[in-house]
Amino acid sequence: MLAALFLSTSGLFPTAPTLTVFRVRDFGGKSYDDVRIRSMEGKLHIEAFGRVFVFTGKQWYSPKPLELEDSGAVAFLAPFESGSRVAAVDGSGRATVLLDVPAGPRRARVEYRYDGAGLAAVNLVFSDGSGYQFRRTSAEPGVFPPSDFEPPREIGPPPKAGGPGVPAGATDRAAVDRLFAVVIGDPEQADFERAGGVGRFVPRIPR
Amino acid sequence: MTGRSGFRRFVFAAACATVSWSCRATAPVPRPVPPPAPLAAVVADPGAADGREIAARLFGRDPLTPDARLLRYVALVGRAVAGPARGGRYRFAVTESDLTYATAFPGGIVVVSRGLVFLMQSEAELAVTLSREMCRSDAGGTREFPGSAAEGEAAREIELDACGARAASAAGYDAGAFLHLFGALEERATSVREKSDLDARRERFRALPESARGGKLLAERFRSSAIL
Repeated sequence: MLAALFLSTSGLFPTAPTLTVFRVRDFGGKSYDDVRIRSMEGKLHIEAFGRVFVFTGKQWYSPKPLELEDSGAVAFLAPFESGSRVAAVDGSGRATVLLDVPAGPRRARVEYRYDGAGLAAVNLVFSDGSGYQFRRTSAEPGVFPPSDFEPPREIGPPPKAGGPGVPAGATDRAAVDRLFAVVIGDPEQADFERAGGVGRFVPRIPR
Repeated sequence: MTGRSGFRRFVFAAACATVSWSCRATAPVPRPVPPPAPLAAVVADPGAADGREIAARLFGRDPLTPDARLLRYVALVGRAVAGPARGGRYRFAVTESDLTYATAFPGGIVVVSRGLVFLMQSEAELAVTLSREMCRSDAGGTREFPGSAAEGEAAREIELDACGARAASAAGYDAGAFLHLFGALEERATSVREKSDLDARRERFRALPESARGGKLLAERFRSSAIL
């Protein structure tokens, strides 16, 4: 989990369900996968640099801290995080320059430009002089399931034995209960057999 | 005369020790039921005769699949083979195990591993598999965990194959599809003995009239219900 936030998404991304896509290039001109941002009612789901970040409206969630290779994502996280210094704002109070932004193992300076649809362009410069340019290429209405804005679940290795919460060598009576809870009504059974031409619906071959 | 009678009794006792099941009906003196084989894989607690308890232990090792749709599909196939009168006697479980097995515990609990389902190509193969395990269940089921050293006797397995083929064929399935599963299992056999046993079972199965009778394969429904 990343740092707690104190700002809202208001003014940066639409509150109506919207998919906003940014093109990404570094200062050498090399292109990267687009950053795709789903926004809805103050919540964000950001796919950037191979990572997914979810902002529930109160907090950011991500499985692990930023690292060098994905630290460019900080450009979209920083406006909502503490720990950086707001050097300039626009007429609506939105930050246009952030300084000393924590960006993985480095720090960064980030500049923002806005238009009528919200955030339009971002320049990110790391302390070592490298950085990225982000340019909005589209912002279109979308339909998103609520789960897109839920904190991501931790994904662990599959259970080797015993199922969830059942140590190896133990018994799993709950599984037996679950098995015995499978009830199939006769209409469903008959439909299944009829569809396959088996069971009670085996074609009779005249002798 | 006494000496000769004693010799006869000795020969009889020696023969019974070798094939005890064939002697029970004719033995002049009632013999105690022999204890179960002392193998580690056999469920040790004699009070665990209840199939539910044995299944719970198996599910502790090989989890019951969380795929409710697959459980339902396997149950539908099993009940189609069993028929409306007998279908309610059985429960059909699928475990999340890469081992390839099917078995039946007392109380009508039939278990097939996902590893075995993965090797199948049609509903007919699944039908024969479930059917032969229902035959095992009807005979009391087993208390042995699958994948143990205590594998079933080859002769017994051949009987179950035939029993399974009869019921699946009567339910309209192409029992001959089971030959494919023999081939798939032979390819995975890890010992010459296992391969030889499977080969013998396959040849005996091929000779069954049900093997050539034809019927429904339902490969497409199997793929969409059990694999995808």
